[in-house]
Amino acid sequence: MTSSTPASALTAPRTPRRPKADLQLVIGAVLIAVVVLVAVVSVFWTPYDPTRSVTGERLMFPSPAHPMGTDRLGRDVLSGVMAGAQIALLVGSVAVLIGAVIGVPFGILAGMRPRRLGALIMGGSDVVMAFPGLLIAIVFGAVFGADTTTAMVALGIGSAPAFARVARAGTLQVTGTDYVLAARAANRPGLAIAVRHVLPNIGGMLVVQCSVNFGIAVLAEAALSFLGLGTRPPTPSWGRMLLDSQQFLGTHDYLAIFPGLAIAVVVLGFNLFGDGLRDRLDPRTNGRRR
Amino acid sequence: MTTAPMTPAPMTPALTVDGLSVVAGGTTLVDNLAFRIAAGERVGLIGESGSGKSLTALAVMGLLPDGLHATGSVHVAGDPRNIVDLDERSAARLRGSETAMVFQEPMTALNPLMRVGAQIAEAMTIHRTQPGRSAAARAVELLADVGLPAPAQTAKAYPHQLSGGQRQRVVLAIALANDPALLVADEPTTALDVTVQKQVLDLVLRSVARRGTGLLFITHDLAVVGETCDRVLVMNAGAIVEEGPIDRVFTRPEHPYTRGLLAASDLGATDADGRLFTVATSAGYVAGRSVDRMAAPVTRPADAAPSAPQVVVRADGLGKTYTRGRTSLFGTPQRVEALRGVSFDIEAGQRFGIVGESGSGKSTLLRMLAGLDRPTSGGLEVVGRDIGRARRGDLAELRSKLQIVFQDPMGSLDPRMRVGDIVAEPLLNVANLQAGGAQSSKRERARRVAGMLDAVGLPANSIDRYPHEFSGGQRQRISIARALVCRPRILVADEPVSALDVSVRAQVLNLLADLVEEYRLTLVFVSHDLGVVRYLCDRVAVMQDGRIIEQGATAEVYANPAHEYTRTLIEATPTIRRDAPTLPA
Repeated sequence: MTSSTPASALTAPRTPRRPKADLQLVIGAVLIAVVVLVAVVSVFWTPYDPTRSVTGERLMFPSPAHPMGTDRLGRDVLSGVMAGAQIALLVGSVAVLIGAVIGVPFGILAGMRPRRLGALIMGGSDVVMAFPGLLIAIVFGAVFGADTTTAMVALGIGSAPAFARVARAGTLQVTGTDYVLAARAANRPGLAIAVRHVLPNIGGMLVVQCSVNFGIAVLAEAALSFLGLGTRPPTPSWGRMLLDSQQFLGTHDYLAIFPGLAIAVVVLGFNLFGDGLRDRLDPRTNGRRR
Repeated sequence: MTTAPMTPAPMTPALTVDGLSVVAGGTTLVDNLAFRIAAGERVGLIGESGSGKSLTALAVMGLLPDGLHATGSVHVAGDPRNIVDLDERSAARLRGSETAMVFQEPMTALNPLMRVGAQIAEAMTIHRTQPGRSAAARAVELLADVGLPAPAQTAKAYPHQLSGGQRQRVVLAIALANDPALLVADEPTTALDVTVQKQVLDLVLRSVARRGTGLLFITHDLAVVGETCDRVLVMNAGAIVEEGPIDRVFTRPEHPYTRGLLAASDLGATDADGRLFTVATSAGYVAGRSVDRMAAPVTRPADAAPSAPQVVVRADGLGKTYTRGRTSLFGTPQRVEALRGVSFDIEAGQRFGIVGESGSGKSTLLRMLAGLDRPTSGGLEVVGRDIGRARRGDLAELRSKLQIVFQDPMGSLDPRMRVGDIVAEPLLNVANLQAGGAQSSKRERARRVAGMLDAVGLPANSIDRYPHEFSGGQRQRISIARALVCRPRILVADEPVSALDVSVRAQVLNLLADLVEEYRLTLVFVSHDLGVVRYLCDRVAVMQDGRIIEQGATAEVYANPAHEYTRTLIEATPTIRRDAPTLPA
């Protein structure tokens, strides 16, 4: 047994927070806030009805009347991009929710029963992980019919293993601590330890995972819609707008650029937010911040 | 201010520090230090955590982390340049050649992917004191110098293949490679076992004596300083409060803080009530009072014990073997015998100490006592339950009668829970409530938690605060409160004070002693520190390599150790008593 030493004087002064991490966090949060705001506004108001086609206004370049131009059916691109945020956020939230609800309990269970049950759970999770999320979504689309709901469920199931892994790793860490040992010595049942000790202490990691997976889900939904397996028309979706723009690339690039930018902003926002949060919650720096 | 040290050497001092301050943001962490270390002089810098002693070391090395700013002057070996103002490149050239440092944790101070011989040679090739080829040969010589067996083979070893003590010897070899004028050692033996500590300390002393190197020895352990240094600087809250030759400071301390530290470190001295001195009660302490160490007052009145002693823990030929995971891809898993045939009885009301160094099996034994692990052979009976064959329900009952206090005050409390909830947690389990206590209501729980916090000397408003708001000693009090809240019969303490500062250690030990008496507990106290066990326990078992090699009444074992190893342990334990100066040749 090594006798641990009194904390050295080095830990006493507050270590200045890495400005980079905070910058990431702020930029990510701002990007997310913008997207959420746009989505909320688009529920009540968009410049034009995003589903209305106007025969005389087809393929118009950006102008003051249509800041992002119009598409081949004469629909306003700005309105489409705004309304598309709703679907993106919906798919992201539901997929992350499903992934977390399935993955986290299994992960914690695997961490608290690390021998046979844990190996079994993680083996199963590895099998699911071996299939790309998109493949699962395509299979689901083929079986249950392709629409937003199947896409969300499939992406959620596909992301569950990632949550299970993070939760298991965190659980192993937490169950190794003396306070869990103390709880066991005080006769607390496993469920109580999981709920009172493990979950609060791995919460930070899980939030980070949620943020990163949100970005992945938005991207995956766009890919599915691009393949025609996601959101059905006429509901506006960034992925389908990209699909529609394909035949006009070279002449009407703006049709691809604006929805593409929107996707990039969401994914970047959630990834930056997740990374910044990870640095902020890093257990290695946690102890020093008194 | 610096009084000129009485050293015969007319050489330039190894280190001159003048007006050194370290500032972080608006707070001054080290305040206007001035001291000097003559060539070949050994100076100890003692202080508790947060006193600024490690920052002083880093400032002297020019290694302060970003965000900290130093002012003043630091000169090494007559070099006219001031290290505080030096740019990184020039400072780097001084480090490792003129100044060198030995760190606390030898595992992290060495590069795990480099052979140790290469790491020593690197120290020379970087500073161009030896060309590449002869550096390797010199590295082997240095390894022989620091007393490593088979230096040529050791040079080819990786750090993980060496023991802690051997690693620290390698670190020392690196530090001494270029014959520095000043060696800074920051808690170099804190992470080592007592017997190893003694060897490494002897080695450090011999090495600096031979080379005429100035030594700045930083530690929280007064006894170690007492056996290592000529002169001592006592640091508190960023300032030096007292300095002088060891013999004078340890016998006639002038500053109250020094006196407090000495009193709290001296586990052989107790005040009128038979309690350890704390910094607060140190006024009555007479430093260096020549009490015979071995016959010091441990004997507490065996207050009217029940006529027939009741055995609460009985171990009979206890063994534990576990399989360690493979260390390499193709290696076979190793079988480790953590315990081999351990037998002992603990009677109700006894204070049973278990002493041993790392790897002796004392932690394994403790886990088994708590029912957290099962023996692979032999029998273990705790409060009438056979742990080897116990079912879940039996274990539950056992755990309600036996509670643990852990070593690490940071890790043993859930950082996301309020103190009130932490202490109340054992009460949530119906099985833990002793007979008579019906279903505990919320109010009843709150009442007991408040009572317990009061008993361990924490303010009532602690309930709503989080563990990180408390100091190490206070956190250990919270741990004790949690362990005692459901009134167990046996308290198992795993090194509960080894992570604490000296002044706090005495308070926690006093508290433990009081509570053991008040709640009529049986105490099982595991420690590597012989002094602590001697103070607190009436029986002691000495463990080595998974066996109990000696056990008996504490006073008896300490006075007449029967086993060679026990003798070595006792002799290796540093003491602040001044009557037996030990200076290695």
